[in-house]
Amino acid sequence: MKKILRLGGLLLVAVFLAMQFFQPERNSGEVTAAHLYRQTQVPPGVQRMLNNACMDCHSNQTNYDWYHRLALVSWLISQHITEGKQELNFSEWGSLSVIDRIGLLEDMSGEVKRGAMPLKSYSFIHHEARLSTAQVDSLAEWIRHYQEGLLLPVSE
Amino acid sequence: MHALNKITCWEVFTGAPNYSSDGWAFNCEIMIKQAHLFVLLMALPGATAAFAQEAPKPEKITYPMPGQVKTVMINKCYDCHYDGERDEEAKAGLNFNTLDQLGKIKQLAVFSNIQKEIEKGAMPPKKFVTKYPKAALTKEEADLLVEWVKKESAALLKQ
Ligand code: HEC
Ligand code: HEC
Repeated sequence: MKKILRLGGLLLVAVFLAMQFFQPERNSGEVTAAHLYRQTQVPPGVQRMLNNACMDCHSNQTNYDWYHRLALVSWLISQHITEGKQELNFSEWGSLSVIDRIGLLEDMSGEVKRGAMPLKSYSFIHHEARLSTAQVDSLAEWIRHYQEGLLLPVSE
Repeated sequence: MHALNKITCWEVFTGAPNYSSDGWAFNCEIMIKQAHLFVLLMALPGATAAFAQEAPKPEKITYPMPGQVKTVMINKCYDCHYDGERDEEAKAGLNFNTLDQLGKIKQLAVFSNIQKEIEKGAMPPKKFVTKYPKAALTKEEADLLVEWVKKESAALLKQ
């Protein structure tokens, strides 16, 4: 009986170790001119908020912690990043039309006000990603300001 | 004899196989014809009601749009995207009853989302379309809506 348990334990460890060989591709791209921060002036306070709460899943530059390398966590995170970037990628902001920018900004405002973003699983671990009401308000205010700016020059 | 006919007739009607041909077959044919007529007559008022309900209700969408576009929006989108919808998320994403009262930024955002949802094939929702295949947008309808949304947002942007 003891032997079987020990064997089972060993097997589990082996499977866990084997899993580590299957690492998803890392999301660590270069920051280019298409990045939101290079497309428009974003106030430092808003940048800090976006960096802390959004950029890990919505840009080509994820800040990995050590445990993100562990399989299961790494797979889950990779999934979030892929899906998150499909909806919104701040690193490729420059390729969006004015209309899509206005639309995504509106969605950002809505998601954050509803408390749907950042994802609960993320803010559970990352305390600095929990946004206060004041922070949400300042994000919304910057968004409104930016949207109005986008309307002014008829660029297309 | 009569009762027997009825029973066998029911069997014929429902596709039950073994029956003999000793005179009741003729009766049976008449009965089946009568039954069909009966069903047709019963169904008629229901059918007209359904037809009347499906006729476009253009006054419900107040945002100006070409008739063809409006018809598609009413038939394929309106029922989940108006004041009476219980799903708050659906209403927040698009509400035809308030669309024309929104500011330009909000309208542009709605149009951008409509285009995205249609291009992704995400509206009407997949689950709904699986259950009611007729609810799906045809390729022509999808193209029509996307074309209009694009034109309308470009025009709004220039205003
Ligand atoms: C842990 C990863 C993660 C973080 C952090 C995160 N998101 Fe997301 N986001 C996602 C994923 C995954 C999706 C796509 C699935 C969904 O909508 O839930 C998404 C979708 C979105 C969408 C599109 C929603 C829609 O349906 O239109 C917006 C807008 C958004 N996120 C904004 C933000 C903002 C703003 C922040 C920071 C305050 C943020 N996200 C933080 C993972 C994340
Ligand atoms: C059976 C109900 C139903 C029908 C029909 C329907 N929708 Fe939706 N719609 C929803 C629901 C529920 C949501 C919110 C959840 C979601 O985004 O999936 C939604 C969300 C949306 C959104 C907001 C998406 C976002 O992420 O901001 C848009 C835009 C939209 N629908 C457009 C349409 C269009 C255009 C049609 C017609 C072609 C349509 N819908 C038909 C139920 C419906």
